[in-house]
Amino acid sequence: MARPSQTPQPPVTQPAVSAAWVWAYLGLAYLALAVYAAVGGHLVSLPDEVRQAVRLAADILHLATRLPVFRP
Amino acid sequence: MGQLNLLLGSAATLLTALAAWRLAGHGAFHLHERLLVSAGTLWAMVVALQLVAGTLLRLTPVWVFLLSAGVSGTILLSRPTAARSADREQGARRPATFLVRVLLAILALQSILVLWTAAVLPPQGWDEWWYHLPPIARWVEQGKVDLMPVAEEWRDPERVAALNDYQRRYHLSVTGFWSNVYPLNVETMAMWSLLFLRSDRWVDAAQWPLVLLGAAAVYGLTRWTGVRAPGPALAALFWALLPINQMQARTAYTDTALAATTLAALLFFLRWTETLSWPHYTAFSLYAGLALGSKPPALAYMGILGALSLALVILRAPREARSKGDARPTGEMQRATEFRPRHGSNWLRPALGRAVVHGLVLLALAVAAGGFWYLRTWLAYGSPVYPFTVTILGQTLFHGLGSVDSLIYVANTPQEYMNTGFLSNMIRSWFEDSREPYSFYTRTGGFGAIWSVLGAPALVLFGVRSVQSRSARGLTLMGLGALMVAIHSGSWWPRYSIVAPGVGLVAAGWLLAEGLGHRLLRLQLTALVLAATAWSLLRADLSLIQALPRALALPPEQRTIGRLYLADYSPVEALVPSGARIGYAPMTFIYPLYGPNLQRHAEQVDGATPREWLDSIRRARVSHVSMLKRYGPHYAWARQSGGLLEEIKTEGEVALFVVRSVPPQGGGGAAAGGDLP
Repeated sequence: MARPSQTPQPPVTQPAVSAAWVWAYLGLAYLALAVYAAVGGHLVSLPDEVRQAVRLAADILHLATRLPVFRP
Repeated sequence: MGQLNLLLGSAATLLTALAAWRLAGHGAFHLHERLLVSAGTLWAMVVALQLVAGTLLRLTPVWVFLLSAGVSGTILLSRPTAARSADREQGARRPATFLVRVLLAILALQSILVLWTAAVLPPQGWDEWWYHLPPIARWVEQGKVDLMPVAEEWRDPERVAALNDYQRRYHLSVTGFWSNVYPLNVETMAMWSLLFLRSDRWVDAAQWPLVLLGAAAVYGLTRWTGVRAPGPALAALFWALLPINQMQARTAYTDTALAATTLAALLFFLRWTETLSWPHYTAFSLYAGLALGSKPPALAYMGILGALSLALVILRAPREARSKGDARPTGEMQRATEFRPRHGSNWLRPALGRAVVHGLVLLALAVAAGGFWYLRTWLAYGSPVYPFTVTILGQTLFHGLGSVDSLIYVANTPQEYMNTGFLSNMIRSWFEDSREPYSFYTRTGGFGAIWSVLGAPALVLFGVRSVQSRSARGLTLMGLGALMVAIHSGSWWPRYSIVAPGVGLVAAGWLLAEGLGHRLLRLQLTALVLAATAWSLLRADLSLIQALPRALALPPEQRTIGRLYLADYSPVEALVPSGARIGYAPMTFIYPLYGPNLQRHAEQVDGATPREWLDSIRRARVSHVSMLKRYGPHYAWARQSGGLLEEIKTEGEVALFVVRSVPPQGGGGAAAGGDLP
């Protein structure tokens, strides 16, 4: 057990899988995206969050640089 | 003096980092492994050097520099190692893809944002004000490391017994008590900048480097499972960009630290199971200690990995004994075969011996890198895990004030998560089905779309594929990850289970590495990854930058906790001058009293009776006293102090009194109170 191994191990790489696995992943990911968007009202609140982020960014840019920045 | 300290700090940091890099050169590590070992060693040295200075000498920049120069110099002057990087041996080069480049650029921009907010804003977290930062402020101020004073309440068993679980937890939080029982590796690392710069500007960035450290561990885990490039880089970047990690990166909390160190320990444990080399075992032991020094749940995680490592040492012994027997010359092999029963029974004793040696190495390194905090708690309170009661199979191993559930989770579980099942709560928090806004503390979200859209679906397919192809590596990783999630009763709370996406995003790395090679899939996958990342970071950054406009509108010296976060403390900032000594009765937040860059001295004043309390104020020679109006008898005692104390301002729950018969320490007319309202 205490064999001092200074020899690097050969890299192990999984064999490639067929594209069907990735298509299945894409399908599940879109489904998860739909669930995520629906629950908790994430999709509904997204425009508000974007507006809030843009306003905050404009304020921060103006305050940090003292340059006139358009605030939507 | 300030410039000299900066010079000493820079030199100490450079020397310690070089020494850590040299120490990490003692093993044939891959590049990411060597970086991890160097970072872990640097962190352990930074903690150890300051604690040695603070307990045996003086916690001053000069002493810490001298210690670091001595230790680092010894390491750097020692014989250089012959070990070569495993990556160089293999000539491995992994070209970055477009997606990796984009995500790296996003991580760089996020890092700039995190560091900028840490520099502009004062420490922001409630737990920081209560117990993460007060001990390091106290240690730097007094030049020595000791226990925080706890409230009189905790010396009276009858008063403690009269509290219910919620009150007990709450009252514990605000008396400096948690500072004395929790491990403080992250906080002590943050103290490095506080000590050398005499500024708390960077203490809130304590976990930022740990996000990068955790990402390197995820990279290693993904490579270990055999995922081809660019899967490991993508998995690592996803983990680093998880909203909870970005939000925690600018707090001196310990959740990202626990996850990062646990993932690194897991990586080195898994690598050791294959190489059986001492460098990998010592790296595992180092990170076991760093995890223990970050947060107590590591006791369970590292307990499992440690027990597994010792079991493996013993279980592999018969196979090794057989392979040694098979390798003998023919005649000898015959004799060995003849005596096989006797030979077979002889493997146990050396196996147990090797297990003991491995156990001792694990214990020694784990205690040195962070486990010592539990010894401190044991010495101070009679149990290494005080105040938690630990019961296994009906037997109480350690007595305390209550179980982890009763002291932590019952009070913190959101109403909609009550009695709805562990698994259900976990999946709901993954998909963030509540409207709780994001913060470093968020209970019902924090992994964002990165995890729910990219990670969780990939995990399902990775599990199926691992079972189907009987992939030992995939099944081992998923099994250990699932075990870590299952044994932590708070795994529904994202910040308590950041280790889960660390393991699970390996799956996303695998599928993306497979899919990005297909022309038809590449565009869709890239768009999906960028959309999920942008959505996750939008919510995280809203939380990160929320207070920036208010802060930037103020001059730097006015960007204080009282002005930006908690108005109850603004009178302290306005009326207690820099350099003054301020006393605090139990239950007030401690850290805001110090002010920016520890400009005031804060000291607890407490007593069981009015006379004791007023005596303690006189003894402490404080010029002001701060207390909560509605906790304990202190406010009433202060108003009937016979002229010793005069109320000068009360804002919200916090009352501020000036001490009349003790001369002020910091000068300034405000301390005398003559011209105050």
